[in-house]
Amino acid sequence: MTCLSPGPVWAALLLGLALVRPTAEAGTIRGRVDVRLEWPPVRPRPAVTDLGMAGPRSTPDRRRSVVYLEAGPMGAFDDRSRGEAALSQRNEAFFPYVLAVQAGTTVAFPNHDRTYHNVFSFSKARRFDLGRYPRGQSKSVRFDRPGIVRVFCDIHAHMSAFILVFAHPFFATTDAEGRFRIPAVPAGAYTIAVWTDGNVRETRKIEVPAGEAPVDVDFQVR
Amino acid sequence: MALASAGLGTPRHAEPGEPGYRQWGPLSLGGEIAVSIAPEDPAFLNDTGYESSPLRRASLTLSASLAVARPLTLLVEARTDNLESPRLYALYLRLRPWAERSFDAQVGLVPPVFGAFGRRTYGSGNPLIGYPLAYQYLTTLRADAVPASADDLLRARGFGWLVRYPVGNPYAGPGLPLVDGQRWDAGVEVRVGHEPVQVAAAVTQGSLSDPKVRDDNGSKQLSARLQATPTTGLVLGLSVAGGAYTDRSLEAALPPDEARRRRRQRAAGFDVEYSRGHLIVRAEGIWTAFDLPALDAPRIDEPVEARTVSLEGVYRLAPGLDVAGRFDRLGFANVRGSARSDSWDAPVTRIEAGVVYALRRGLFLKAAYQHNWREAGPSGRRGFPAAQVRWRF
Repeated sequence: MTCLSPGPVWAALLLGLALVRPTAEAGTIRGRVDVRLEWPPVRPRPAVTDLGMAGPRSTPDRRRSVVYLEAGPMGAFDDRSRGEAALSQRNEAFFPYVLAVQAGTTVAFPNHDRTYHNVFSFSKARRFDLGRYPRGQSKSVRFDRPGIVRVFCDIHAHMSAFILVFAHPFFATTDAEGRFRIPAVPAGAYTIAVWTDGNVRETRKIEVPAGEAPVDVDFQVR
Repeated sequence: MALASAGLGTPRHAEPGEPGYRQWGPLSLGGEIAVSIAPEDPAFLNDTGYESSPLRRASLTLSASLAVARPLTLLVEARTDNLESPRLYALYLRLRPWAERSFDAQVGLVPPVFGAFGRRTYGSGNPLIGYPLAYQYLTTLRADAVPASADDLLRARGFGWLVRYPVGNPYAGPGLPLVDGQRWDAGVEVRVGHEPVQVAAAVTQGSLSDPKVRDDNGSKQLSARLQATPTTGLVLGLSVAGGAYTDRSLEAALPPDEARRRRRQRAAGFDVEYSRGHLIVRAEGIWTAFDLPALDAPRIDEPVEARTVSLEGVYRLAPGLDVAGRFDRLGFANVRGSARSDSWDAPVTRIEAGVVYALRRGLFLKAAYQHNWREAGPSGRRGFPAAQVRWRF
């Protein structure tokens, strides 16, 4: 499946102020994202100055996808999240590799490694630098502005992660089997998108009917 | 009901994983372009002996690692300065025979075991533009020419960038730094252990002051380093090294008994790094001694000694904005000439302070000011404003 270029996606976001017929009831969107992409193992930057090989490190799960509504009902934006989430540093990798949160969420960055890490981001949505802190300690950042935040470690160039900050609560991160579930979606017509490892892979029009029957949407990412 | 955007855009240049360098299967390729500008240095305080100065240089560095087979990795680094022919700075095989044991062997043109700055001379390892004196400043000693007397040595004080002696190569040439931060030595090194304690040792062709790809004096250098990390963020290092530094061409110019002697450079050093939060502080000290032949009166009977200390600090003011400073002092022991007793080379003090700003990940702008005080030698500008653009990819 080809990735969508940013242009149509931005256009879709700007056109998000469209009218739909509302109902009082809410439905659920559920499904599975079947990621068939293959990634080679991330090797560290050529470290010619080292006196030996670096220690073992973990591999992040890059198949985890985020499924979200490109636009949500206006009322969904009134209540900013005061939630909390965590992005850990473990075995020289960030876990999870992709974290989806609602604007207003505070994300903790606990260090579980014996070495220092220096978590930072230069993303427009949130620019921060947490400095160096040892194992067992954590620092937090509040994300108020929707957008995509690339997270890196200033000490270990191979470490990276994504934080997707949404203006509304209608999103879900896939589990290990690729399954997702977006509950409490007001009935109406929407565009649903699937995002995997840095790109929107597919968008689709869906109708969420009033009633308890969930809407099933499956994606295949190649 | 109205809908509103999720507020989520796709990053225009996000690539999967985006590590900042490239990889194709077992091959990883990275590089760096750095362009530094500064006024001319008529006193040659920043000269490296290769007709280039860290303050006035455009360099392109490419480094690659190739995982040849499970225990073997080939590492290469090539660099061109000022668009001259590229040179290999690293070319070695890294071997980890037992995956579960912290034992590594490296063979070829290998990174230095001695000291700390030698393994972080460029890239993000050097927060400033200039180098510490120990790793760059040219003393008045040469590998292919020696003073016949203490008076010859004292006459050359402060002229290490272009020095001439009556014994050996008759032409003027650059002197040697205490430790060459521009080139690496060829040989074999091993590292045993991991944090909190590790030991590394090397047998190489050249010396700290004059690394070699091929042996030029029939003698090897032995160097070793003990590193401890008692707590996260604190690194303590002790290093020693010893090896002949003069080349074989000098032997023909010496009396037979002196020609047979090995003129060795011996060195010991300590280094400390402590970091926490947005602060990194480093200190490094080196003592070294060079053997010289005792020829004419007043004779140089003892090895000539030099000591240096370097203190460095980096503080991150804001995301992507660092301030850094370094203090350096290079001193030399006295020798007795016919008219006076004085340090065998002119002591130098250097301070450098600067600002680093990250325009984006891997792209940095640096601005710095360096000032030098030297007790003798060619006069001229002592202070240098400098700027650098560095792109790491």
